[in-house]
Amino acid sequence: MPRTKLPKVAASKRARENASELDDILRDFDVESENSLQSIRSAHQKNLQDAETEFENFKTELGSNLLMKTMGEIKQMKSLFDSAEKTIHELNMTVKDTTQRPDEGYLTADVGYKTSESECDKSLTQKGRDVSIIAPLRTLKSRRRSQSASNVPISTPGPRSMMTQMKQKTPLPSSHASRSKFRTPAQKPAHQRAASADRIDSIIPKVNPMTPVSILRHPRSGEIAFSVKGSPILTSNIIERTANVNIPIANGVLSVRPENMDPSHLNASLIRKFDNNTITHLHTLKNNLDMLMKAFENRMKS
Amino acid sequence: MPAIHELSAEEMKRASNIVTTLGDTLKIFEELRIKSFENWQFDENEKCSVLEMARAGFYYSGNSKDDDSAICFVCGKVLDGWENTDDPWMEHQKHSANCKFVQMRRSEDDLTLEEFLDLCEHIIKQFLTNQFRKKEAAFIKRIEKIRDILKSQQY
Ligand SMILES: [Zn+2]
Repeated sequence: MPRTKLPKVAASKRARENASELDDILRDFDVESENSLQSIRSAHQKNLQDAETEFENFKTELGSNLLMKTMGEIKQMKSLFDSAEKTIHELNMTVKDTTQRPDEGYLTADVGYKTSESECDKSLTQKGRDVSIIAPLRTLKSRRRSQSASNVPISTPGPRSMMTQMKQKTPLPSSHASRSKFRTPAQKPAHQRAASADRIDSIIPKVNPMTPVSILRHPRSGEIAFSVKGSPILTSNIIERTANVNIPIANGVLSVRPENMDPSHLNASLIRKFDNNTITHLHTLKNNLDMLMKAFENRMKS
Repeated sequence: MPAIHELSAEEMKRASNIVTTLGDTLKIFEELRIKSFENWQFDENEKCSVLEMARAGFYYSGNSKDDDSAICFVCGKVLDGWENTDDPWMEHQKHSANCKFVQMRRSEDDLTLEEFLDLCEHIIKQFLTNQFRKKEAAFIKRIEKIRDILKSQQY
């Protein structure tokens, strides 16, 4: 079978073709190299920009009150603060054994969001190894954040789960110390002094919290709340907008929300966590809710 | 400007945390610079005493007894051959006028927290830039090497 005749290529021509092919390769290589170089350069610029933003945010969080202080004063504060913390810690160690008992009897409303902060931190740490030196600043920030975030209960995974288990807050002596016990009452302005807990001698309940239905108001921001058994609790300014039921269980609080419930959420280990008292309470609660519903229905009919 | 005792406990805790964190990560405190001059040849009433050297931003950077080199913690300038009449700030300025610390020309305790944080930012950025320059140079070197190899394929 005949085939197309290929012309014989002269050696010199082949060399020329070879050379032009190599020129093409070199040109491509140069373009690619330049692109890579540009991309590492802009990555570096981004790193610098990130560091700048980080400091900018950091300064905003600190506030002008602190920023105006001289380093001499800041260091003085640090040593003051360190010694105060030490004293409080020692005090707590001595007081702990005699007075500490678990404070049951208060519930907290569950709010399931927890990812926004950690997500943000995650994206920050993914920005590259070169910025690792500013990571401690973030740690510092997140450490501060986590103090307030520690009051936000952790929810079980699953965006739609209407039953949310949360860890019971155990009053930690150290966190109490750093958050609320450290005060310098003598040096504080009068209006702050009036609000501080040690000035409140006794609490007279205006309602009986033990009645089956009591109407409660939301805490005001920063208001000191006291649990029924007397110890102060931190009021959360996160306000629950939906009707829900919080049930104390073995190691936390179960929050039942007004969304359709899936039977798969009710596993045996969860059921085991209910004690007899709680079950009795739930029965009564159910009756009360039924009664309430009936009242609504009657009103709708009339 | 509020006095220290008007700050809240939270603010004090914050301040305390900053000092700890920055000190641990950047090693920028005068106190550490002072400690670095263990066997410094000049005593405390001379112009380039340990304290004056540290205040002007210098760390001891030598590694033997007759090595009197010191490095600035901000600009990284290394100076040696110190004499007892040398003023550390003046020498710093003479050899590194663009140094941010020289331009502030105040010792640590007299800087405001904001100025100090700006200094930290500057140091971090400089560190990042130095790291990048090294990376960039190595990258360019590798490109050139590959290019040479490619070129040598010609026959
Ligand atoms: Zn310098």
